[in-house]
Amino acid sequence: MAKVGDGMPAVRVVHYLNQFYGGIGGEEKAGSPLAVRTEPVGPGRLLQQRLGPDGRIVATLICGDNAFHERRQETLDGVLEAVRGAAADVLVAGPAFGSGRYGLACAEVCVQVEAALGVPAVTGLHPENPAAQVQEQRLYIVPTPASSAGMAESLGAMARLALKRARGEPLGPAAEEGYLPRGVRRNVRRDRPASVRLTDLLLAKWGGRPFQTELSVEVHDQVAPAAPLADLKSATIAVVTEAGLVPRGNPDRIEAARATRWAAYGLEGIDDLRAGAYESVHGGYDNTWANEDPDRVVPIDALRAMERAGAIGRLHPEYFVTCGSVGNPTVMRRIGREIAAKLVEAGVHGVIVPAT
Amino acid sequence: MRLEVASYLVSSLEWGERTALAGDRLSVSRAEIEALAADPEAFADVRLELVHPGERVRMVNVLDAVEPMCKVAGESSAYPGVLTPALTAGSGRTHRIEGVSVVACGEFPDPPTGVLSIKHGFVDMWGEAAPLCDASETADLVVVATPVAGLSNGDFDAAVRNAAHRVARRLAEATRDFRPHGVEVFELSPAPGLPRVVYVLQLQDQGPLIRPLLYGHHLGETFVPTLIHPNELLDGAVVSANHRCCLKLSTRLHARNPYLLDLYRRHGRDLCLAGVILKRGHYANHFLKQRAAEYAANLASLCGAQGAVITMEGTGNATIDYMQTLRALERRGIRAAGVFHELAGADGADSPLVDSVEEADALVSSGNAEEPIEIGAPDRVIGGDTFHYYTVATADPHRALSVSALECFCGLARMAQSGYTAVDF
Repeated sequence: MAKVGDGMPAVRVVHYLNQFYGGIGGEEKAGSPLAVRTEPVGPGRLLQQRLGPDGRIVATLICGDNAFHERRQETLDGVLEAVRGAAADVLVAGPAFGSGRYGLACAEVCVQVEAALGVPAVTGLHPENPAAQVQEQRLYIVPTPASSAGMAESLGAMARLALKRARGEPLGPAAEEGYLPRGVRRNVRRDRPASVRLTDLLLAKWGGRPFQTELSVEVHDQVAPAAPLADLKSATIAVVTEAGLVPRGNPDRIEAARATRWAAYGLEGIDDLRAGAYESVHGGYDNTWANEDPDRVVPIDALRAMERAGAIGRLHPEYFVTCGSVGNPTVMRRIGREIAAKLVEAGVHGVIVPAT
Repeated sequence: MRLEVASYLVSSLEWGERTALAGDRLSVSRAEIEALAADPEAFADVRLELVHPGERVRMVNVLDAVEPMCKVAGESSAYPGVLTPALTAGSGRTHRIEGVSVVACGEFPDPPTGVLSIKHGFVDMWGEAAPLCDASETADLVVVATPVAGLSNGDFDAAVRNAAHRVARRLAEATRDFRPHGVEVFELSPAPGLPRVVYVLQLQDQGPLIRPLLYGHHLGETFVPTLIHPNELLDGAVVSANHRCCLKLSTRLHARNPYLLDLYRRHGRDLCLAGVILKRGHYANHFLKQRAAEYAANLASLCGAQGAVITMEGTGNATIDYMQTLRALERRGIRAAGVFHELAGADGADSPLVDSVEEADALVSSGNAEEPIEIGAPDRVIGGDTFHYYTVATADPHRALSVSALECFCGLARMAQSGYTAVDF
C-alpha cells in the first residue's frame, strides 16, 4: 500500500467509469473501448476528496456503455488485468444512478473483480436500477438518487464503505452502513422483546401511524396448471413426490426436514411397493401408514393396474423423491427444476404429484 | 372473571429434610419428591437433579418445563384437566413460584422415526445458547424418567406429564402460608374508547406427541377456533404435550405467555383486551386451513375486535394456517400484526418464509432460527448421553457443539423473547 505521511498506509483504489463520466463523450462515444488512466478522472476527483488521506485512486478505468456489453469478455479481461496490475485494495464503480447499461456494467465489474481477484468492490445505484434488483450478486451497492444531482453525497457514502471493505473491517446492517439489502439476513438483539414490539406495531398500524415491518414478505409464484393431456392411453406418466418415501435405509440420505437432496428410484419389475422395502423419512407427517403400505403415498400398485388396463400408456421406470418438510422455497425451486429437466429429457408426458 | 396471581420469588433450590419455603430459597425433600414422581407402571427409574442459571450444565432430552402453580381460593385448579377435572379456570387466587421450573427429561421407549423423529430439546444453563433455551433462567428441579420395557410412547408422555405436574403442584403448595412478593390482579375491566384487540394463539397439532392439551385434551382434526378468557390461559388451561423441541411452547410459556401478558399490561391504557382466540395450525389440507382462519376471524368480529395480535407454535406447514388467518382478519377490517421466525439458512441467504400473504405487512421478526451458535463443553450433562439435532443427526452432549435455535428447547419462542431479530446485511 502507498504510504501517506507516517500514518496508516493509504488504501489503493481503482475507479470504474463510463465514457460520459470519464470525459470521453456522450452517446456518440458509447462504443469507445476500455482505457486505463493513472489519475482520478471526473467524479474521481470528488471521490479522491472524500477518501481523504486514507485512500488514493491509483487507476481509473473508462469504458463506453455499448463497448462494455458488445465486447464483454475482452473488456472484463482488461479490467481484471488493470485491477491486478494496480495492486488495488478496493474497486469503486460509478455511481451509475438510474442508468441501465452503465449500472449493469458497474455491477458486472464488481462481481468479476470480487470473484476472480478477491478484491472487494463497491458501486452506487438507484434502488430501482435493474442492476440493483439481483440480490443473488451479494454486491455492496450504495443507494443513490436517480440522477447525478446526488453525486457528492453518493460518493461520500461509497468512499466510507470502500475504505471499510478494503481494510476488512466488519460491516454492520445495511440500514446502518448505508448499502442496499443483499438478500442476507443476520441476527441482532434488540432491547425490547418481540411481545412489546408486536403490541407497538399493532397499535401503530391500527392508529394509522407510520410503521415498519421487520420482515418483508415475498409473495410466492402462482403455478398455472398445464393443459390436460389429449391422449392418456399413449402417455408416459411419472410420479414425483415430496413424501420422503425412499428405499429402506435411505441410501441417498435425503434429509427429514429442510431437504437439499432428491433422488430417483427404479420401478422396473415392481408392481407394488412392499412394506419393509421402503420407508418414509419425511419429518412432517405421521409415517405409520406410509410404512405399513408405501403405495399409500406413492401409488405404484394403482398405476400398474391402470397401465395393465390400458388407461395410461406407460409408467415411467423411475419415481422421483425429495422431502418437503419445512422445505425452503429457493431450494425446492432448484429441486423442481432439476427433476423437471430429467422428465423432459426422458420424454415424460404427465406427472402425478401425490400430496402428503 | 377476576384472577389474583400471587408470585413467590425463589432464586435457589436446595435439598433438605422437608419441602419448605424459606425466603427466596426453597428446600426440597428428595425422598418426598422421588416418591411423588414415581410411577412403577411407567418408570423403571426416576432421578432428580437441581440446577441453577449460570452453572455449566447441559440438559438433553428435555420434554417439558412446568412453573409450579396451585389454586388456593376459588373454583377449579391450576392446569385444569391434567390432574384434576376440566373445570373452568381463571378466577379466584393462584399461587405461583416465579424463578423455578420443574423440568422433565427422558427418552421415548419406541425409537421414533419420521414425524416423531425430532422430539428432544436441550437446555444450556450458561453461555451462548442459554438465551435461546426455556428454563435456562430459572432454578430447575429436573425429573429424569426412564420408561419400563414395553411402555408405549403415548403412555410415557402421559406418565411424564402427570409426574411433572404432581411435583410442580407440591412445590407450589409450599407457599400456602407465606406472604407473596407481589400480587397481580387480572380482570378485563371496561376500557371504553380504546381499540379492542384480540389475541389469536395458533397452537400446533401435528398428531400424537406433537400437540398441546386444552383442559387436558388435544385439539384434533375436528377442532374449530374457540374463544377463552385470557385468565384461563394464565391459570394453565393449555399445557404442552408437544415434543417438537424447538418449535413448541412449554407448559410454563403457555401459562406466562409474554404476548398475552403485554396486552394485559396495556389493557385500559393503550388498548382494550377483548379475549383470546385459540386456533390450531397444521390442518391436513387447504380447505380446513381456510375454514379455521375464517372461523377465527369471525370470532374476532363477534368480539368487536379492531385489532389482532397473532402468534403461533410450530413452523413449516402451519405457516399456511397462520398466513390464512392474518388474511381473514384483514379482510374483515381487523388490523392484524404478527411475529414470525425466519428460516433463512445458516448463511442467512435463503428465503426466510415458507408461505406469505400480502396482508402480512406488519410482522415482528424473531430472528433467523438457523444461524449457527457455538456452544462450549458442559461440566455436567443431565437427561441422557445423546444430543439430538433437528435434522435427526446425533452428537455427544459432553462436547462443544455447533447448534442453532432449532435444537434449543422452545428455541423459537425464546429467540423472540430474548430480543433476537434478523436484519438485512
